[in-house]
Amino acid sequence: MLERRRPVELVPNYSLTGDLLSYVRCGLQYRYQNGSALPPSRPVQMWFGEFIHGVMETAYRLWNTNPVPFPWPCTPTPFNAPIPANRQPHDIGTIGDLVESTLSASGKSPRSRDLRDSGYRRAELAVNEIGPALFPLITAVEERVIGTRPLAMPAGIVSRAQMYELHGVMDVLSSVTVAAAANNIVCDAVRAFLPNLPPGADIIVDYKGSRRPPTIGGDYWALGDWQLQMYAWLRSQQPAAAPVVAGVLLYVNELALSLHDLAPLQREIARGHTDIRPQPGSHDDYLLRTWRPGAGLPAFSAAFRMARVIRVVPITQPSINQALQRFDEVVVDIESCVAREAQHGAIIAHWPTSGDDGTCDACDFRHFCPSPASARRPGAANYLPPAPSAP
Amino acid sequence: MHLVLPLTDFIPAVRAAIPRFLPQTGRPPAPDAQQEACILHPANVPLQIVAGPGSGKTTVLVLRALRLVVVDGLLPEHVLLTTFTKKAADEIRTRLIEWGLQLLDHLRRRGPRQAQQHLGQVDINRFVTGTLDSVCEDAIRTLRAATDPAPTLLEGFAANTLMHRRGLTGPAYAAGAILPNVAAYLSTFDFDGQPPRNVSGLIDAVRPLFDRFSHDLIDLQQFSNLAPQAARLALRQAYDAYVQYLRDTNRLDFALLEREFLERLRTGRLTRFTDTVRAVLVDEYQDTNLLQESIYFAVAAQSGASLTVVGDDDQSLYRFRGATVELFRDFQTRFAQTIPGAVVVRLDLVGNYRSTPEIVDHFNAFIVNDPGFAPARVQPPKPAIQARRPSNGVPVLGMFRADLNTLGVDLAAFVDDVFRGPGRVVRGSMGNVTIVRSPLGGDFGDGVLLAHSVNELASSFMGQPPRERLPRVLRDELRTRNIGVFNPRGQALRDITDVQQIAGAMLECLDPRGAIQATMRLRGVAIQYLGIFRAAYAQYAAANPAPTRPHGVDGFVTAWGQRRPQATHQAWPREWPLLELCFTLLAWFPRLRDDPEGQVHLEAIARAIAQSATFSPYRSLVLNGSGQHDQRSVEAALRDVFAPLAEKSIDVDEEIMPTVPRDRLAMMTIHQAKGLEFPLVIVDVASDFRTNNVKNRFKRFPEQPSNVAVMEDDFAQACTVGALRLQRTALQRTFEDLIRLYYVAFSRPQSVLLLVGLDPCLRYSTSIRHVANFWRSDGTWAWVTPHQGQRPPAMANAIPLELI
Repeated sequence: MLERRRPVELVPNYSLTGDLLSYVRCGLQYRYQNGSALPPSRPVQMWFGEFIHGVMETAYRLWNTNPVPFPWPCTPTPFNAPIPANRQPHDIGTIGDLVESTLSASGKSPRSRDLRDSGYRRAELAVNEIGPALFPLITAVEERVIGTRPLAMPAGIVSRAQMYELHGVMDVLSSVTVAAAANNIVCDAVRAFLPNLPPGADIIVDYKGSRRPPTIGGDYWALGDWQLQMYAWLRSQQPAAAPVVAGVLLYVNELALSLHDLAPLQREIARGHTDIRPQPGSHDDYLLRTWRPGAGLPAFSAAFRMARVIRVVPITQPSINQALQRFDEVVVDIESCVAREAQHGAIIAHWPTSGDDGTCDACDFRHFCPSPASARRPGAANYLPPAPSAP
Repeated sequence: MHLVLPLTDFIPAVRAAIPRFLPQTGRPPAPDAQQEACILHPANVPLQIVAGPGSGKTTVLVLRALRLVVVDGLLPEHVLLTTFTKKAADEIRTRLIEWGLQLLDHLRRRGPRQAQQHLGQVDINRFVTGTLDSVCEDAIRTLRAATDPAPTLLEGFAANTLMHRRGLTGPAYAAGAILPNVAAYLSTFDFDGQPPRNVSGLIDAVRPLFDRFSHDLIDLQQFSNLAPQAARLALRQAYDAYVQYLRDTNRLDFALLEREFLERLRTGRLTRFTDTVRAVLVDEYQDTNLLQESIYFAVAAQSGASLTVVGDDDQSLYRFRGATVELFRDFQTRFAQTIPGAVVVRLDLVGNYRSTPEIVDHFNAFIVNDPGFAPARVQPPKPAIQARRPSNGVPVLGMFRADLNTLGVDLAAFVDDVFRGPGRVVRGSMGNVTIVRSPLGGDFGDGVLLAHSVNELASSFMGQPPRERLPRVLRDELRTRNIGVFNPRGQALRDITDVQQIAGAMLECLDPRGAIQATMRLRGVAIQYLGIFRAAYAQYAAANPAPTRPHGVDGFVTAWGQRRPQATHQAWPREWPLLELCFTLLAWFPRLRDDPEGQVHLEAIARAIAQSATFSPYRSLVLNGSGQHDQRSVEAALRDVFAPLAEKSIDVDEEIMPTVPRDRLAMMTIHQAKGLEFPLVIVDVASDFRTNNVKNRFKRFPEQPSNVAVMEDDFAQACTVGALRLQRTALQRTFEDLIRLYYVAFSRPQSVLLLVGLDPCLRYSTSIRHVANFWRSDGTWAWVTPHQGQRPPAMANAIPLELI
């Protein structure tokens, strides 16, 4: 009698943003991109997010070793032209070259000059408008946190895992400095939510290379909240860690919106689907209300832009527990899919399709997806993917 | 370091905390005495563990790492634990976390009070584990100065392309030809003494050389001073140019990654790393190369970390990647020379918990069969492995047939009986015994076919169709029984039908009927295969595969070729990613999108397209409406994606599949099986050998040194391990590699070992000598004894196998 081969036992390692949020967006897309490592055909969003992250991280490291006063100049190297002469190490153009060369070596480049210009514009604003407020508060940069959680798999599923490892990367601020700083937009925003900051607590920060999502109509608002709750839990798992009382998300694109962002913003404000609106009767309010497609970009005030950049999320034990439960469920779902695929030797039937219209429209696998968003609407039965059209 | 838990309490705590080690009546204690000695060996005394197959070295490494934390007061982040493959690293990390959490939980409840403060600081997730490559990459990426760019790691295909374009072109390759002196020098490393014929051959020949420059820490000045000087100088210039280009663009290939790490260590740029490390544990040390040894020794010297290495010289397999088994064999003296005053202790692990006594007897006999091998082993050699599992009554089996087809049919019937049918009855030492799948969900995943190579087709010769090998015959035979196999490396990517079809479809989209291709200078093999791809697509399209509404694949491809949008009111975009075209075409290729093997093949294609974006002038985009750039973007795709695919430059990576489906029979090379175990292991020892063909002797009884051994000799004067290697001749080293290869194969099974092949090699008077069949390097054969009477028996008369 042969024994059964010892099943592979694993503590799978999940990244909060790279895996769990990606699976929530769509299970099948996650399977192809994260499981089979199929690269995205248009890594534009990847370039943008990583560019902003890279510039901010490098700028902080430079500032930390040599705190040159802000604003820092921004002289990007023009396309196919030599590096501008006499550029300083803290010039955002110099920093950008460093980050771009790394991204380019891994195949990530902006799709157009406009996009690259937009990246530099936002990076410049991020360094010069967020940096002066944020950098002095940071006590740990790009801190890597890891935690292990038990995994309760449903009965009947032979799983490879009894627990899972979760990791994330965050910047950390101290509540003491946040409480003490005057005239600091980040601190003001945090104190507005938590007037009585306990001493000896931490505040965690993450950047998003996107605009502020609507509070209603899509998962992104809630996912951002959960992400911070999970980071707070991860941070709490580190020995001698201080409790985390708040998280800050910085939506960098709000520093300089693109023309494509304005119509959705008007819609969200009209429907009450966003939490930060211009003061009624203010100049920002006028600019936004009177903007029409085809017009140029309105010059919003710095105060309005920063208000939309900064989102503060209070963190408590119940809110952490709620996010933990949600993410545990996500991991159980993923591991169940892995187990079913291993048992049956086929992929598509064993991974859920759950993308929204936006996710499906941009998905590389939409042409054979058995159930895109459009086919999941009521009344759309017996969907068979049609042949794709050129191109 | 201060003691936290008394050393004497550690093993009892492990047994109380971790269910796997809970004492049970009728079961030997775990960990056993030898394992315990290794775990409890003083933390500050360097340790070399010689661990036989199945002897629980993972257990020892993990428990020793945990002991360093709970007894010696280290924190997990102080402990660096490396191993050879990502899979092995994942397994070690899993054990560390599972057992570590159980142990901590136990000690926090029942441990001594004085330990609690330390235990409160312990975060089990912070052990530093991985392959040495991954550890180096992580350290270089995270522990860099603000103005240092994060380097990008290049994979094989992109690295080779850049090596050709930025290194070899000029110094070694000019005006469409390889410099004659370079070609002549490289021919010394070719099995047939042939120079590389084209760029693809040049890359294949030079890559191992350049990697060895790093792995062996070659003194390039000395290398280029040796004869033939002109050729060596040209290659050195090419190497320098390649390395400089990578530096200038923040790239590293895998060999340069570890070299960069060592340089940073030596120049004090990794003090944050060495300030943290307090203990280093290295698994699979027998496959360490000189560069890696230098890293471990430098870390130990700079950090004062205690060093524990685990390995088995008899299982060293990776000479072709620079592995130098002598570094393990001589570890005690080499470490003492580097760290003055260090005295290394050696301990052996020889209890085998994996295999039945019959299997253990077989590989024990095998490893001492050739007296000529003995001097190559650790001295004194580790004692014979001791089986700790009971017998199941199944002897080591052999299935040898007169021809390949019969072997394929009978082998398929055997595995079908075992995993789907009533089982197979064989004669054992205690009477008949039935080999049958486990009642607890046993399936094909409990077995494996191991072979020197799992290629399904032999190389074609003189334009003849390639000969089918056992993996193909078995695949076809199992298919008739509705049984699948998992063998993604069975054929070159370019020879797989769906790959040919989708590549052909893409080619017809980009360049209908090859009009642009005809204007390009491509190599012969590329032209030949691009034609095959187009023909494969044409044949496939003629069958009008689904989906066919609103049009079929032919309609799509034709519209693409004409740059005619099929959706109304849409202009053709100015640029379109080649990768998106590939993903769109998947609509007509179900195997590539849904089957595990197909997924491995798709990943290889997608990776090639994505990587070409890092060096190709049009970044794998197809332009339209940009004048001459339209055609050039297509030319770039043909040259940088499709030609490499046609020239076999793109490798598959089956590691992307988390698990092999259990309803398929896996086929893998013996190298891939390193560190794995299976209930049933079928080892193909002789399905390729019908005659004593001179061309296949290197696979069974070498008469001349392998290319790798020749290269070692060639480099010997330019590296510090040269003399060490030359203690054995190149031919001896070649023989020894073959012995170690089959030792690894024979020690993989848990319950059943079945050797398969063609029966001419078992004839008493056979001229087909084979190390795996217990031939010795002096030409004697252990499976024959003197016969009585005038005529020898037909078959060998001392075969220690139960033939079925």
